[in-house]
Amino acid sequence: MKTLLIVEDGADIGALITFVLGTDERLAIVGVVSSAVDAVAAARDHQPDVVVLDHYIEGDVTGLEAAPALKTAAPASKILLFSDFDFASQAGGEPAIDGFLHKRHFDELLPTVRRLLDLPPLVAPLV
Amino acid sequence: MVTVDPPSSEAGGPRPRWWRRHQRGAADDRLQLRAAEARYQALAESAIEAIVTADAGGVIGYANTAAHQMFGHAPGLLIGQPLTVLIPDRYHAGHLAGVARVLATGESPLLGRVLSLSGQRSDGSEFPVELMLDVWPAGSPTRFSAMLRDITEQGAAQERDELVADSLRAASAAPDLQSSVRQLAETLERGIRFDRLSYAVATQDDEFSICSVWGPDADRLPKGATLRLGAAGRTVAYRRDGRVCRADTSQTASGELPLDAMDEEMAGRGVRSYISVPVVVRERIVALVNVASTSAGAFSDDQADLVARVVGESSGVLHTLHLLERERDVGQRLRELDQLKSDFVAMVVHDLRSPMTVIGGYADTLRDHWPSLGDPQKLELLSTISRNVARLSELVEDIMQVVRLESGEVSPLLQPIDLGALVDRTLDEMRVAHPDHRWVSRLDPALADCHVEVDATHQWQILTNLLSNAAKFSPTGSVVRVELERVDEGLRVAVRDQGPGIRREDIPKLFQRFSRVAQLAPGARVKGTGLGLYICRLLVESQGGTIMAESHEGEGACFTYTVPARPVPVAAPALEVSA
Repeated sequence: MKTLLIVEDGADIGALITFVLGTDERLAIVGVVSSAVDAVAAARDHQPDVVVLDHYIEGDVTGLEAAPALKTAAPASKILLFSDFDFASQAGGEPAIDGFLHKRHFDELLPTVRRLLDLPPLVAPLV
Repeated sequence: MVTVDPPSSEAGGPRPRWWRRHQRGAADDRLQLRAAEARYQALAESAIEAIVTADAGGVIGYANTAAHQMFGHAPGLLIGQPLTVLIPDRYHAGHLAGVARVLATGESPLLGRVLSLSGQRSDGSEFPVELMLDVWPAGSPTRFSAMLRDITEQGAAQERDELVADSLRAASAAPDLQSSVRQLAETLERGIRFDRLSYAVATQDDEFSICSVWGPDADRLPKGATLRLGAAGRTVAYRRDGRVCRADTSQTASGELPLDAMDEEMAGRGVRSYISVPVVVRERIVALVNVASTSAGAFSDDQADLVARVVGESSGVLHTLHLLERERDVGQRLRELDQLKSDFVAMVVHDLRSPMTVIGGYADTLRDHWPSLGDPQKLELLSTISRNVARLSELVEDIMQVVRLESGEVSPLLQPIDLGALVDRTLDEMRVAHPDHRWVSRLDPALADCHVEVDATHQWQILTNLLSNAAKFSPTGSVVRVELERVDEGLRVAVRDQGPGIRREDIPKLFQRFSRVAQLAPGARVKGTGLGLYICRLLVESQGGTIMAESHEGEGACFTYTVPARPVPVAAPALEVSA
């Protein structure tokens, strides 16, 4: 079982991410937080395998800015920056970030998380 | 002058014949000599130049009337005095050495040349003189004569010419108006003492706006301050004389222009006397240069003429620098406006994107997982889509309204309404929408009639916005109170909640576009469009009112706005018609 931490301040989006990722039984969501401060604390506590990180979140620190601290708190975690703005190049320049996905491609979220975790796609349809 | 002493007649007897003969001849000579002396004196007395002669010992033997006047001595008083009374102390040693050399050698490099020296008046003051020196007889001189001319005026004129030329040079070399005005002021200070020099640009017929100030008293006249010229200043000074020299801004001497608005303005800014000179370009007054002093009578007419000359020479330079500056300012403002617009677009995009992402994400999920989703789940996902579509259209409505209000496209539709009744109606709507809050109104008992002339829709929108905010940001079960009272300017509406309040530093940001003020309520995740209070402000202001917020952390917030009183037309009473 792989663990995930969701950092997202939009309630609807947070719920959707939880739903979509929850459809793969090999993934377990250990927390949904909305600010960088809470994210670093949760990462330290849970040492998640993947952090799905929004850029514009509550508080003064953005997702991009919080990434190095998250990596320090949970060095083994893969960090996926997931934003509705195109931060691909900024994410590429930040060593703490392992991947970037635009929120426009919501249907790519689950495959991207699986790739980060080296999990093969599920062959059988979900119940 | 040659004098011959007569042989004494000790015996008292008759003089010898040769003597008598000689005497006759000598008498003739003396007569001629006296006549020559008289002619010479008459000539010397009528000369404009000062003429002074002295003997080998440096004692003045003759000085004409002009010399007495020039050096400030009563007629005749210079005769018998040493030459040094005419020379400043510090030159005495040099003068005496020069005299000694001439007496010893009979020569001086100074003879026959026009020399520029300093003279000393009887009161000790100095003045510049030009002097031509001569000695006689040549070879072994026993007397000196000098012709002197007071060149104070000539020196001053030359100094003024230099000052005018220098000020033009300095003003032209400056990179901008402010430093040009400073250079001008610093050059003028060589000839005039003043406390402040300002450059005011013509904005309207008789209004000038200060755009550059220099001097120790500059603080009293801020950039952008307005100077108004009165009729006197406008019609007399700036057309006929081309300048004003006011000795006292609190009173006029005879023959002066009457005091006017300009004097009042100047006096209000601590000025007692001033020189004001128009900057004329192509026969149009484009600006004024004002040289001001905090003491009365600080300036003479000559100084006013000097300022007028300096300004006259520098007019073109000053005006050009001002135009350049204005162009730069306009460019800067355009860039700022452009930036504001870009920021607005960025904020709009950001705010539109978030509900769009939700809608897109939920729709994709429905499509991708349709077979595996149960009906309740499908319903939940669809509800979220529907809620975000509503939010999106609310946002678009708000943006459209901001654009319309900012462009001035919508003007309020004023009509007399009972504001008290409107408050009650809006509260009823709130009781339905937010039944968990307690909605209370308190109307000023003295306020029998709440009729005002306003735009009813706008008033409803302002009230709804403030009341919804109060509900959003205060705990359920708490009281939201609306107060209505009469104030000097009209009516005031206050909306008080019992929420956690707003931080003091956040209050000024509340009414800005897309303000995102952190909520103090713990765990509160209420999201507005960020435009509601900004729209309230635009609506309140479009009807001539003001809006403000007060809050102390932990004690709730209070939003108040005013509705200016306008005379409400009262229906004319029906005429009684008697049979």
